Amino acid sequence: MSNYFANLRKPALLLAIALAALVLGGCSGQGAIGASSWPGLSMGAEQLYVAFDRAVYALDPATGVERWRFPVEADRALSFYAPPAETSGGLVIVGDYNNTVYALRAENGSEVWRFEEPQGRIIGGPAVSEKLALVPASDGTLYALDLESGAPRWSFQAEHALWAKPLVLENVVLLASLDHHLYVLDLANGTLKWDQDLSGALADTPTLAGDLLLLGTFDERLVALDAASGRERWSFQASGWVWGNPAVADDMAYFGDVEGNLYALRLPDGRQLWNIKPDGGVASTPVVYENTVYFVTEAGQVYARNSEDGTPRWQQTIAGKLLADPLLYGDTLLVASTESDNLVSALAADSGALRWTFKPVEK
Amino acid sequence: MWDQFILNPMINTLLYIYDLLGNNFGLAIIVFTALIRLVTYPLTQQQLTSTQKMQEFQKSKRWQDIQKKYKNDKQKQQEEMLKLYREMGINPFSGCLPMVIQFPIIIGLYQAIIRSLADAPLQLLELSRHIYSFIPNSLIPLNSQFLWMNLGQPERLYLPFLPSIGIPVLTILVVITTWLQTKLTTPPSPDSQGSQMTQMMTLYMPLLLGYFAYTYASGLALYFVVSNVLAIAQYAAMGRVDWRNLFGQKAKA
Repeated sequence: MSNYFANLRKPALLLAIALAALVLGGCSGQGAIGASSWPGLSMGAEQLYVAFDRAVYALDPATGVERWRFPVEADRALSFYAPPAETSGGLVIVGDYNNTVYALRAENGSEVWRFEEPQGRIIGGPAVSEKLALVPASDGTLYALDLESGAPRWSFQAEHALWAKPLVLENVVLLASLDHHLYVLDLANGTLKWDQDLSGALADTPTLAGDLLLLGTFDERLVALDAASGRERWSFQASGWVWGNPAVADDMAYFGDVEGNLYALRLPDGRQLWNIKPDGGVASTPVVYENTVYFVTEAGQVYARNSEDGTPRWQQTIAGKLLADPLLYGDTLLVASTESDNLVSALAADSGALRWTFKPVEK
Repeated sequence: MWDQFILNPMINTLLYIYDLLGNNFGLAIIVFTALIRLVTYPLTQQQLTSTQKMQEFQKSKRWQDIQKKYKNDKQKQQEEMLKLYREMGINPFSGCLPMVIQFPIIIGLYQAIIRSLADAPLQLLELSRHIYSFIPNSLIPLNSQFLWMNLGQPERLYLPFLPSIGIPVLTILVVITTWLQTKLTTPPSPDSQGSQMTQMMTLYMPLLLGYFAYTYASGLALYFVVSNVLAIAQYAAMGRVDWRNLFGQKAKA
């Protein structure tokens, strides 16, 4: 390649080198300016957590006022995107992009323990059981850590990265992997009970709906499996990658695809009742409450639609991209944005009116 | 336009080769780099011809006479130079054009490698918008392991007896092959400015590309190494490699 440059005069050469450095640096994804994922939003018993970029924030869900943040002083080496998980014992488990898992006190954000063995970023949110924190890592390992001490109890190795929060059901853990498999593990020791190849990457948590497990795949399908055996009951062909898992209510499943479609299917047979294509990709999981389905799009729109027929109830524009799962807190819908000054916006669930916003103040 | 005409075709060709080669992204990069070299072969040839003509021009007695005669009249020297260009059939821009065309290809190739190896949610979501419908979705995510490397991360080799020190093998190979390529394929320049330029290239290009290889995804470093080796082989096949440059011997002017 150097020959191309050899025939240039000095200023042109320097310009070419500077340009190459800029272009290569800018698109490498390392040292690039901006986030590499979207915020991780989750609700604890009494507070809202949002993990984004340099910190994890604990907010008052009624007002959006910041209660604490971790770390207290901004550290450019750290970045957090996985939705934190609060335990019944008052801990908050959160992982970062530097391959570390932290346990923080829910009351003030102080560190209790940390676990630094993962060889990959923590992109998916941890799940918690009575005694364990189950942390999926992009090194393909699910780490089961003792909640009190952070000591590893067992681990399970998948064939590719784990970006989905595990689902804990009684004595089993359900783990969706980018390697196309759904793994069902024994919660006590991590041994594999069964697995199912779904021929497309799985990026989000399975949804349990009665005796069905619903999973969106990058093979552009929503697949319904028998929860006990893993046998496929039905699948629905979407128009794009199905990233987020479906929301279910009243024998219906609601989910979107990255091409910007939102679908409503009958749970028993996967038949489509309605679909709409508003504006921009739907990578998150919708929320369903009182005959209304709420969903957000990458184009920065929040939609509330009648869950029975998809007719509009209200629509609100939020600056930035909306890719994180929205949450419902009482009668307030909480959404998190990227590429916007406001990290979190709270909307009235019945009208879409803006109640509060949270903009992190640099420390 | 960049995405439509450069990036998307490159990403999809890379994915197609990856699929053909049994999901080995390292091999896909090697084959794709060779393919790019093949496609841009006419440009390389044109660039070489142009460089050769320019060297003949700079060595010509008439040009040296013009330089002496009009050393105090730059405008007249410029006019005479253009006249001589016309007489010798030289287009001063024809040497630059192939490079101008190849530069976006190099950048596009790098972007294609990095985007295909998306290892964070926003990157993967972005990739979904670049994939043609004939590429099976089951390929995603790509297997980024090649030999001991994760092609999406900077490369380091950890030896069993040196577990705490990562050796940047690819970076070392990039520096060596870039130096070799510059040394072997850059023709000697008759004037002092050109000679200074060549020396600068021989020193800075290996360091610059070595820095990229050390810092960025190893898929890029693999591309640099393969590209350098293929360039040397290509120039050798065309009889343009000057092995004497390696040992500091002055090539015949």
